[in-house]
Amino acid sequence: MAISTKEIEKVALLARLELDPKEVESLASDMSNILDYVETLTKVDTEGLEDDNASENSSNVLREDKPHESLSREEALRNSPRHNKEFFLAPKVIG
Amino acid sequence: MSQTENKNIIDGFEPVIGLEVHAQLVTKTKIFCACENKYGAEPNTLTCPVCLGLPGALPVLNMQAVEYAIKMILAIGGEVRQRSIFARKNYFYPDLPKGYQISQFDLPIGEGGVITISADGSEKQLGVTRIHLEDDAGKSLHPEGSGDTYSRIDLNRCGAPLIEIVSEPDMRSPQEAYAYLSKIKQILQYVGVCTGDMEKGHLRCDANISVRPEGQEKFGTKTELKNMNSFKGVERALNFEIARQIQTIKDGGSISQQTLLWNEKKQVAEAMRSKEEANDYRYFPEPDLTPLHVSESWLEEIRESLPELPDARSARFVKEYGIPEYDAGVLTDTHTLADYFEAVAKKINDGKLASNWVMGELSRYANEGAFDFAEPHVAPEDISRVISEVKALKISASFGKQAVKELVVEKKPLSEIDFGGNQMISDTGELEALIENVLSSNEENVVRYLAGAEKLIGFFVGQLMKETKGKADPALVNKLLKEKLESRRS
Ligand SMILES: [Zn+2]
Repeated sequence: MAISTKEIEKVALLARLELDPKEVESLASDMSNILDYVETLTKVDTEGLEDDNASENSSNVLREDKPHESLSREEALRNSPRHNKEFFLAPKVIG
Repeated sequence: MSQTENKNIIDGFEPVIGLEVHAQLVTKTKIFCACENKYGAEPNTLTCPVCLGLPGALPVLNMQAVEYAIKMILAIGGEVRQRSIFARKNYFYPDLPKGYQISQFDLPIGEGGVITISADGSEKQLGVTRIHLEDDAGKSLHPEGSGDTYSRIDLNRCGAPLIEIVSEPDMRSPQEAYAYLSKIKQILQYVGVCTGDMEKGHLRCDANISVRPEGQEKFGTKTELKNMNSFKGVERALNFEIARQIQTIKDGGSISQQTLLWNEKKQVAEAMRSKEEANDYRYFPEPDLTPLHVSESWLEEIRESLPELPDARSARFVKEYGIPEYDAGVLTDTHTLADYFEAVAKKINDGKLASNWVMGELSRYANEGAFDFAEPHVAPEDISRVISEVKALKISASFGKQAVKELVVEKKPLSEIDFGGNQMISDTGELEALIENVLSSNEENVVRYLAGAEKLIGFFVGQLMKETKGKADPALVNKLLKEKLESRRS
């Protein structure tokens, strides 16, 4: 299953990745290989089996609406590359 | 069908509008984690690994959020799916740390439903396509004039529970869109699942809008309008975009499918830059959540907990309390107003009188900001006491109004209202004596009255009211005065 360089460029845009033409070429080939590999799975006979994405037998996994303590602000911001001790800071998108 | 004039046609074009309404649910905690779902907390103090999107954290669905979604679906007559699936909607934005929103795609929890609005004096039914559950993003703040090159991100709201209510493209004018929104808000408030506060962002609305030549079946190319943050803003943005689309077509151009942001300050809708718009959400099933099953018994339990809805309540008010349809509509505008009215009506056992006082005096104070039916500082029992005194002719209506003012505006307790000292004088003997006094000290006017100046009756009533500080029973005074005056003819 071939993936075109055009498709790679579109996915890169959606993922906000900048790729040079060489990377696009090699990714197209890599991803085609991956998809070919996964394609093998479609050969499995699933006739009569229910189509589902998760174990259907498990009952609902639900939570009571009871609050727990949240992280402190210091902890919440700790892993952020940029913050001002109050807010996360991110490059402006609009305006 | 006869050809009736279509009032929605503008310059030969008919607008077609669909709305996507996001309603934040009033749960105590977020949809997939136990952080508090609270407005107005210090920035970034309500987060945890789940809503921060930290690696390895797993979402667990809040049962209350599911119940609230189901309540709204049932309230508008939709179908609740026995089994629904969560899906990831992938896009990048600074206030979405996971890089995807957990939403529902092809198998939403609710499908179908109807919103009834009144348009041009008749009822119109607007279809709802679906209602689904999803998590909210955080808030990006772009302080103006600060010179900041960075946006500030507050993730307190990130992970708050939302339902998205998607309408059919059934609206034909901005006014209908406004009425639809108002009705959605009213029902959300009635079933108690959302505050409906658009200014706080608890209720948000995007619109899909196109125009088509009159009589054409096929829809035109639509654009999407975002960023309206009031009901009036939605109406204005739609009016703007309808005019723009019609003008574009009349100038020989064509409409391109795009997303526009409403700029309330400039009163224009502006196109998003193409990169911002480069969204292909690549939905796929959320692997971290199992399918949601809603059993018949759970559904029944929730159905039974539903309150009486506005239209049904309004109809019942007409029947039960004998008030006009219009009044019933006003009184059922919010469930808190309806509750208040009903408490008074029951207490004084008189729907019409209760309606007069609640729609008159109390609503006036509510409009002035001195009274709030949602958090009344004067109990319906206290207001009922005043109305009962008036009804029993113990006090005059004007003193009744004065008493309401003292309770509501001056915040006096009921015990300080001087009903005794303001008892209405309706004792015939007492009034006759007072009338005699008034007549004998105004002999010349009595003569003029008897000579035909009958308007002077007002003068005598006025004098008497002055004597009694307004406490005399006006109907009785009128009757007795005329009798006394007539008796002087002989
Ligand atoms: Zn959290």
